[in-house]
Amino acid sequence: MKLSKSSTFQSAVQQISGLSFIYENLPIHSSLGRKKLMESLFCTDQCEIEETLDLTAQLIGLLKETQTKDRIGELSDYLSQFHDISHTLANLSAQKVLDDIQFFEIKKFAILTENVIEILQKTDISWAEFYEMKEVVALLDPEGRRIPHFYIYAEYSDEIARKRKQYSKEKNPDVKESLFLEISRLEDGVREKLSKQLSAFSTQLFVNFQQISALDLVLAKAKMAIRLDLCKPKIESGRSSLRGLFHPEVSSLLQSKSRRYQPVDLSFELSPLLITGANMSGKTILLKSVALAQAMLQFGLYVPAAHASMMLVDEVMLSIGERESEMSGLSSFAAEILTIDDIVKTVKKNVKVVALVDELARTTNPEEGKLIVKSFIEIMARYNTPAIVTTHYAGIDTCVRRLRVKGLQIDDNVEITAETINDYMDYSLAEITEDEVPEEALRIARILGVDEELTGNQKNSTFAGLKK
Amino acid sequence: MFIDDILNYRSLSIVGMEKNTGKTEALNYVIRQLDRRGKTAAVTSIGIDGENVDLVTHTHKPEIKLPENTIFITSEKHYKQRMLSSEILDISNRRTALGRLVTARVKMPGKVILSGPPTATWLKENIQQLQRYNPDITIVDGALSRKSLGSPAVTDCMILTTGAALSTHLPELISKTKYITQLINIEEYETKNTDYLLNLENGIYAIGGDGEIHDLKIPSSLLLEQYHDRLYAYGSTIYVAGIVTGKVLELLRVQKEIADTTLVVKDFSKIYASKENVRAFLKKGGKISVLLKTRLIAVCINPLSPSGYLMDSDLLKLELEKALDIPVYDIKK
Repeated sequence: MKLSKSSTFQSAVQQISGLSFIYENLPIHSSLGRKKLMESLFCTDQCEIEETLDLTAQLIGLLKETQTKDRIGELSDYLSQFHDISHTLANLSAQKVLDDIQFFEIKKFAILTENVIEILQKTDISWAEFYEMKEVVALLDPEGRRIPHFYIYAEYSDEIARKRKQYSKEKNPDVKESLFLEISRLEDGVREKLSKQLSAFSTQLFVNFQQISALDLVLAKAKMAIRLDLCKPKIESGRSSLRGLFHPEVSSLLQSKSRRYQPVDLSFELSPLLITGANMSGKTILLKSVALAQAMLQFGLYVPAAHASMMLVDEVMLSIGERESEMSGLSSFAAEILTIDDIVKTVKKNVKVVALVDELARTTNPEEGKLIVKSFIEIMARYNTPAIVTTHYAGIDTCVRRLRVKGLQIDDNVEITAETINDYMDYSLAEITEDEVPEEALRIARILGVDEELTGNQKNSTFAGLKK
Repeated sequence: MFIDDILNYRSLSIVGMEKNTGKTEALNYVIRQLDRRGKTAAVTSIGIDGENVDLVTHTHKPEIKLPENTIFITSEKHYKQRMLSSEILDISNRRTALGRLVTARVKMPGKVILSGPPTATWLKENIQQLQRYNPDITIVDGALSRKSLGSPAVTDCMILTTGAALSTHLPELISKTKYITQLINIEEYETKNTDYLLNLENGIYAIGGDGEIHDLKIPSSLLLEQYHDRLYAYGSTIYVAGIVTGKVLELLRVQKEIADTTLVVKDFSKIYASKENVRAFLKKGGKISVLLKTRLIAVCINPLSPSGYLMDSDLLKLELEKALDIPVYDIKK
């Protein structure tokens, strides 16, 4: 699983855990805004990302202020009325003659765009590239009613006006029919002329269409940032520091069960990082949160943390879970090692990668497993790659920065169950220097209430040698 | 005349019991009469779902004559084929099998083919939305079809058309028509979850005492026999979201809980069971209710059968009125 410059948001949703939850929480009004998001690419251009983030910040400011809140509400109302008119615009620029439905679409689009421009001006939103649509509206609204209805109005042609009057007075059905055909022919002439006049504006309409979808998207981003309590990330080079990092989907799930999600602080530089921690101590979720935050940043979104300064990367590469092996029919080890190999090869091409690897080589024997972890980490160190690797293995002999999830913070006497274990788990990270690995698997298993013989009561001598 | 009666309602559907019973004539007649009284109508139709597109496009669908100022909703496809001049007022975001729905106002009278939304709730929304244009009444070109998810019962009142096309044998014609009017008069089931239930397309559900809905996980009413042990798991009010056949009624009838059973259906048009089946079900103590009920205000007759047989219009009118206790009209007279 990886994200690179060619990844669209749509493909990222399939790969990054929790990103589909983010998508569901983006209140995008128009189908064009949604399309824009889905087609947007994983971005590595700092200016572009910062521009989007600044705009989001501006809109958040306006949404929070009482004087401007209603204006933004009005803006949302207009945005929700836009239709996807890309098909019509394609016809227009291909110089085709449009029909009434297409004229209606353009007229409605132009009137709504005018309304949007008006609001933007009133609220001082710095959104430059809109073309005024007054001339387009004037062409399609000869009555000057500014209502998005459309008809070949009598104002377009005196002849049509005259013939229509004649038609309504005429009693003879044969004459009436020939009049109808004649009027239809004249109307077609008006359609042809109008289409030609409008085609001069096709580029402007197209640009506005793009701008409307972009505006819709940014407004949705701003609303989501408030709703999910996200923060504006600062872009830094060579260092990422995430304070109060959380996983919105898991957090909201816990909240629905009236439980609390414990945010975590994590920072890393251009070097690998080894994380140890007991089972159930949230290592996997931590990696997923980092992947999610990185992806959100590079799709121009606020990130799930209290405070974040982050580096940009060319690729986010993940080895988390076994989903892929089930799909490809490979054994879990084979699938994993091929993913790892892909990371190594990419890094050796000097691509800027953040690699997130969960329990590297866990499915093979610990002796060889340890060696794989060690050599992977050393390669990552050599190529200055931030690789976050979690492991259960002790005795990995390498000088690399190590963190440990604090884990269960109680003594043996407290009664805890699978339901309450969360409340006693400290998910925060601590720097460690030695190669220490928590041995809490048996304890956690007991808490989960598995068969006693499995976890080593007196009857089972297998556990005699173990210290605890 | 029933035209004045119609104006007491916000919406009307016109439904034919059979092809060639004069539904289109009745619709055109009502629209014409309203126009003569200086009233404005809004018209739309019950759509037919996707798989019938070919049927819709290849068979002849009657055109409706619309006077100036009439508001109408039809699909993009049929809008483009219109033989009138009109001002587009709105276009839906959602699509039907025949494209989006166009709302327009007639500027120069002429003919148009009507098509509409495929579901009852969407149709309800459309009727609601048409109020924006202040019509004196909204008329729905209704259909009695197994294939249609829409329902003529979303309107406040209804006109039924019947006639020789249904049967040229007078007692049979009367008996069949009377049976439908009895179904139309089935009482309404009151629940706060009406819209939710209407949106369910298929499946069988129990409605609990507080209106809560339980999916009985019975995939089709045709499989009731296999799953009958689940049927009363949440009480004896059973909602069938699709159509109810005679088989379903027979199956329910033999359950020991039958005397307490209330069978809820979307509306009368979803009951595809014989008169005998319904009677036997009711006789054992079963009750039937509908989510949507409409009021039948008149029956229109067409005494001419497609094969050319002409029944005695006066006799037909007289006998039907006696049997139904509702005004009956031959609009061609």
